[in-house]
Amino acid sequence: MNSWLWYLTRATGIVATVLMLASLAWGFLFSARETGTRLRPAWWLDLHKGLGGLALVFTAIHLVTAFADSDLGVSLATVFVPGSADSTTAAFTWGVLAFYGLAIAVFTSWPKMLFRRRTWRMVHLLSVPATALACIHAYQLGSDAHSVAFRVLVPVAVGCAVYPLGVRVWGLALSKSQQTPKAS
Amino acid sequence: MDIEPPTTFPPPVSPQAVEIDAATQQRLARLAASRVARTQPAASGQTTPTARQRKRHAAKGSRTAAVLMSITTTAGLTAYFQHANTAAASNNANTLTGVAVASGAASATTAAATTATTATAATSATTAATTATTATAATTAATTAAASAAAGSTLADGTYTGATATNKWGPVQVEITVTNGQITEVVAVQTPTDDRKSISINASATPTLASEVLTAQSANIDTVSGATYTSDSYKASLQSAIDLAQATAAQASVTS
Repeated sequence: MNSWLWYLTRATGIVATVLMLASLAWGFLFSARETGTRLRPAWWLDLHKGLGGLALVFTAIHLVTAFADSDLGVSLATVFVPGSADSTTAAFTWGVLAFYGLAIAVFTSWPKMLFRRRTWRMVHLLSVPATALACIHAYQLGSDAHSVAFRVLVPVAVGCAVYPLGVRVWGLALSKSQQTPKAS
Repeated sequence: MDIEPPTTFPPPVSPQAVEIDAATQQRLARLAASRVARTQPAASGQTTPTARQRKRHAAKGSRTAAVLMSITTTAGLTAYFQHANTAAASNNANTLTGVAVASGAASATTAAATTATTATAATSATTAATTATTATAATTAATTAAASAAAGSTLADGTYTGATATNKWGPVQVEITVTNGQITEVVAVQTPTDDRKSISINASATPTLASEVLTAQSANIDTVSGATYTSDSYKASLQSAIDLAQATAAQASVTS
């Protein structure tokens, strides 16, 4: 029984990380207006929200199965309190912080109108370091982190996430330079 | 020349000034009709979706597909891990590599290297021993015979590090300390550390195995439940260390 929990913990961890990366990519493409003409922006935004929520659900399953597997020795404190793990403390801490960052990004998306736009954006961008921390957590603690499949998947996934980020940053830089009045 | 600004904005346009063709009029009529249909519920009781509802379900199909793909991927990965575990268990037997080494204790006359599988010892006072597989070991030399060995004990006093036993989770290596012919201390100097589960299992299993060894004074100990691979590797490494201690004792008795 414990073996199945262990396999489920690993599988949900991998899927949750991929969903986080996908949600991040969708969000950046949407905010950069690089959504093309074929699909409506509402579709992109809706799928972005869906992927983020799904990532949170799979992260929650990941935590529950890790806690339920008695062989792992993961306590409630380890799951919810950063820095409380008895071993591999740093790796656990990154995972806990990533979970909180993702939860904040998801739950503040629903009452978005309650925040000022600038405030909401700052809070929502917590998802970027959260995703990075989740990847570091996976690399440091994941049992499959040193497998060939993981090594192949990492550059692909990082590329899929970094490209939209680059598009977004480039778009911001371009718009700023256009707004800046030229020196006479 | 002064121009008077218009009193209203936008300025009124006489109907005669704009000519609307028939196609445009039809289009405007369709737009007006659709606006009325959106704002008023239909007479038959069927309500058209509001703008808010349409927005919420903009990517309903894609979201459903994402959920299904995620569940399928999770199930597939879980099954793959189970399959990989079963395959590894059938293909990867517990193997011993390296040699057992005696060191540290001044009571041992020689140190021996035992081969990985047969645990036969080649002893020498000052030379290194070469194993049948790959490893070569420089063994330590001592100056005096072990008192306990001379007294007929089966184990010579000293510290003996067993060969490395590797299972599918990683290497296990055991070190024993023999005092007055008895195993007085057992330490797992090497255990798998590749993943969290192995670390946790070994942290609880190795003290149990050590206490069993101290009680049994041999490698005939019970397997710890939930740590079968670690237990088997532990026993294999322990046996090689005990074999070395026995060979050292035998050599000491011959010398004396």
